[in-house]
Amino acid sequence: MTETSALIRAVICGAVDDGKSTLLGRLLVETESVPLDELESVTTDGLVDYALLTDGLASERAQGITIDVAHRQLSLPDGRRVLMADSPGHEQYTRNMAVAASLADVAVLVIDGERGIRRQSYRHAAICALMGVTHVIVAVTKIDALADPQTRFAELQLEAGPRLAAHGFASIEWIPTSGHRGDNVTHASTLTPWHSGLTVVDALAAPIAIAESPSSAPLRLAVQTVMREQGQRWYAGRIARGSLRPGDAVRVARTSTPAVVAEVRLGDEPVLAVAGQSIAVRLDREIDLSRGDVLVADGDPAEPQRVWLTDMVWLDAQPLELGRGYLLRSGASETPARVDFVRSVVDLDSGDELGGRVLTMNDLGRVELVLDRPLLLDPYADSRHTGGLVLVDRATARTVAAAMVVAPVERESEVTRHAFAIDRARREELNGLRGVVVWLTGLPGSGKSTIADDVEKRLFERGVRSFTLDGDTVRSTLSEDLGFTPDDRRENVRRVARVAELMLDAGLVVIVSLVSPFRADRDLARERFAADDFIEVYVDTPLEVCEQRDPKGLYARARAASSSQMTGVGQEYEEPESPDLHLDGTAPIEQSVALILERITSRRLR
Amino acid sequence: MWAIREAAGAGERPVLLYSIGKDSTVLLHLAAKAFAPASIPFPVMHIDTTFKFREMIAFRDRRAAELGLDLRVVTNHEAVAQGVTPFREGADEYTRLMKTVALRRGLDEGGFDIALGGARRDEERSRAKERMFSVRERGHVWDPAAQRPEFWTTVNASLTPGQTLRAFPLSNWTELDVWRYILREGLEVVPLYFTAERPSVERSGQLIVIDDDRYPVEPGEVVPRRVRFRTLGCYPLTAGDESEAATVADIVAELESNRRSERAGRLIDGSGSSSMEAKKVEGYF
Repeated sequence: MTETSALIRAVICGAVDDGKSTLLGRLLVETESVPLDELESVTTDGLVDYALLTDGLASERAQGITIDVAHRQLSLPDGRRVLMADSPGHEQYTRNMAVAASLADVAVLVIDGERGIRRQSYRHAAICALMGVTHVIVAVTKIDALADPQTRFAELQLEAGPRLAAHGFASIEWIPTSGHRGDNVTHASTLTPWHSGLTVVDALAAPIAIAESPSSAPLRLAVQTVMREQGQRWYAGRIARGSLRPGDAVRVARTSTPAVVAEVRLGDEPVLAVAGQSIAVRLDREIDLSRGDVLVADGDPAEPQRVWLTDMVWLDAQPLELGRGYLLRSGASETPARVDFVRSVVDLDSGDELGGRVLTMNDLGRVELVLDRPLLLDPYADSRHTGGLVLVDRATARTVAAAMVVAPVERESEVTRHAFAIDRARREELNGLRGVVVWLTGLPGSGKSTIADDVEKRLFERGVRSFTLDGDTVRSTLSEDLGFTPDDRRENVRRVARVAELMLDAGLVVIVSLVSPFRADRDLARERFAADDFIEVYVDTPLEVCEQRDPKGLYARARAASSSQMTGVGQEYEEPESPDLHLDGTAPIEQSVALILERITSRRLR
Repeated sequence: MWAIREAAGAGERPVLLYSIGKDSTVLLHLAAKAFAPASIPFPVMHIDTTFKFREMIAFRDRRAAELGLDLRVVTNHEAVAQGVTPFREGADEYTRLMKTVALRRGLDEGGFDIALGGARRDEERSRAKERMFSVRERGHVWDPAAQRPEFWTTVNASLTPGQTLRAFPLSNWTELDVWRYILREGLEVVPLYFTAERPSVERSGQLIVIDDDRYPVEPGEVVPRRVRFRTLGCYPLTAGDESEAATVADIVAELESNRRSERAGRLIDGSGSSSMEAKKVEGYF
C-alpha cells in the first residue's frame, strides 16, 4: 500500500531485562509518539515508567515480561515514521522474535552495559541476519550505572564485534545509551564525550536503502483472486518483484502459457506498476490462470521446482516429523509438502552446525523440502516475499515452521532418467514383465520371509528378475546405525522405500519383507510410488500363532526381558486399514504365494 | 489492499464489519479499490445496538444504497425486547449483550469464516499486539497466547472446525493516516466528525451529546456546545471533544498538533486499564 510504504521497518530485541522496553518507551516519548493521556496513565509523582508504555497485555504486566510482538510507531523529526516491532526477550519466544524480524530492515539490539553480552543477544542477532535484517544498531544500555563507561563500552565492542560482523550486516552502529536518563536516545549525552554523538534516532533516520526490490528485478506477480467484470477477467495480486505495464509479454510459471498484458490498474486508475503495489491485470487472451499462479516475464528462465533447500525455523511445540505431509503456504500459493531430510541443525547461540535428524521448537535447520506440486520460489536473499514460506499442520491448522529458500535441489537432473538411453521401460522389456514393489507387512514370525522366498523361487523359475529386501538383511547393512524406536523405525522404512524405488527403476520385481508396524510410515512409503507400482500385502497371523512359531526365538527373548521394543510385545502393530491383499497367515503357504504371483504376473508391459 | 484480497481469496465466506466510522469508511473504500473494476465480492455487516447516533444510521443506509452493498444489519433483538440500555445495565454489560453477543450471533448465522475490520494497532495498547490476521477459537474467543506467528505477506488461513479469522488490513495505519487518506481521496464521512452546535451534558468530565429522549437528564442540564467526535459509537457511551474543526483539512491540522489518544472518548474502554483485552477475549471485535 502506498500509504505505508514510506515506513522504516525496525525491530527492537535483546535479552530479557536488558532494558529494551524502557529504551523503546523513552524513544516513543521523546519522539512525541505517545498520546498525552497514555503518558499520564504511566506517570506517578512526575516519574514516567517507560517500560509500562509498551508492555500491552495484562498477563505481561503481571509477569513483568513481554510475551508477544507489539507494533509501535515512532515519528522521526524528518517526518518519516518507523514501525517498531517489539519482540520478546524470553528465550522460549524465539519464534516471535523471528516474526518481528521478518519484515524489518533495521534492528536495535539492546545490550545491558552492566551484565554484558548474553547468549540471547547472539541468538537474536543470528535471527535478525537469518530473517534478512541488513542494518544493526547496538544500543548498550544503563551506561549511567557504569563506573568507567568508556572502557566497558570498548570491551563490549571488542567482545561482540567479530561475531556480529560475521553475519554480514550492511552496517553496525554501536551507541552507549540510558533508557532511564535518555542518554543518546534523541539527544547526544554529556556522559559520553568520547562517543561520536550519534543517537539511536539519528541511526534510525540514517538513509537506508529500503528498495528491497528494484523495478529491474524479474517480475513476480502471484494471483490472489480473479475478478470477472463484463465478460472480462481481471487478475488481482501484489507485485512482489519487478514491474508491469501494458504490452509486457508474460507467462504463467506453472504452465508456461504465454500472454500479453492488456491493462494494469490500481483501483480505477491505469498504472505502470512497480513492486509493492496491489494491482489488477487484464491479459490479451483467455488462459488457465487462477489463485496461487505466478506471472513472470516471458523470457524469464525461472522454473517451478519440487525440491528446495531451505533454512527452517521450527515454531511448534510438536517437533518436525520427517516425511509427514504439511501444507506449504507462500503468498497465495499452497501445496502439500514434506521435509525429507535435515542436512544440519544450527546452534543459534554459537553459530555451530550440529548433526541431527529432527527439529524441535525454536530450532533452526537446513532442510530439504519436497513439494507435491512444483512451485516457483526465489532465494530469500533475492526476495522475502517470494523466498519465504510457512508450513501449516493440516490437523491443527497451526503455523509450525517458517522457512527461507536457499536454492532448488536438482535431484531430478542428478538422476536424469531421460539422459540414460536405457530406462525402466526398456529394462522391463528385457525382463518380459513390469516391475512392481510388493510390500509385505505383519508381525514378526507371521511368515513374511517364507512367503517372499517362495514367491521369488517361482519368479526365478519363470526367468523373472527379482530381489527381496528383507528386514534382517536391511538391519545389518543399510540401516545398521538404527535402533527400534518409532523414529528409527520410520527412518528404516524411508530408506527401504528409497532403495525399492531404485530397484523398481532397475526393472525388478521388488519384494519388501518388513514388519513396518506403523501405518503412517507405510503410507509414506506408498506415497513414493505410482498407485499401480505398489502392492501392500498384509500377512495377517494372530500374535499367539507367531509367538508359537517364534522361528528366531525373538518372542521368548522379549518376554524374558523387562522392557522391549519388539512389535507385538513392547510396541504396537497397527494393522493396515485397506491393504491391496489381505492374506491369512495360518492358511497353506501355496495359497498366499499364488495370490501374490497372480498380482505380479498379470501386469502388462507398457 | 493485499490483505483485503487475501481475505477474499483465502476465505470461503468473508464479511466486512462496517461500523460507519472513519476507519470503516477507509476500509470500504480500499475494498472497492481492491476489487475494481468488479464490485466488492462479500457482504457488509453492521452491528446495530439501537443506540447509535441517528446521523450514523442515515449515513449507513445512504452509502449502502449508493455503493450497492449487500448490507446485513444485526441487532440483539431479545436484549432490546428485555429493555437493555447502557443506563440500566451499565456500560460493560450493555456492550457485551448488544455488541459482543450480537456480533458472535451475526457471524455464526451467516457462516462467515473471515471477518474484516478497521481496527488499528495505534488505538489501544492491547491492539498493538494484535496480528493482522487473528484466529478466534470456537465461540469467537481470543486466546492471545495461541496467536499464529505471522510472516511476510503469507497468511495462514487454514482453520479447524469452529475457528474463524479476523482480518485487520489497517493494522499499521494511525488516526492521522486515516484522515489524510480521507482528505486525499475526498471521502465522505458522517457529519458528526465535524464540529457543530450540539445539545450536550457533562458527565465525569466527558461531554455526552444527547441524540434522543432516552438519555436521563436533569432539567436545564442540556447545553448547546460546539462539539465534534474523534470516534463514533453508541451516543451515550461516546464523548465528544470541544473543537472548531469543521472540515477534513481542519481535522488533519488539529491532529497534527493534538496529542490526546482518540479512544480517550470511549467510555467503555476506561473501566480498568485492561478492559479492551478482556472484551476481546470474550469475542468483542
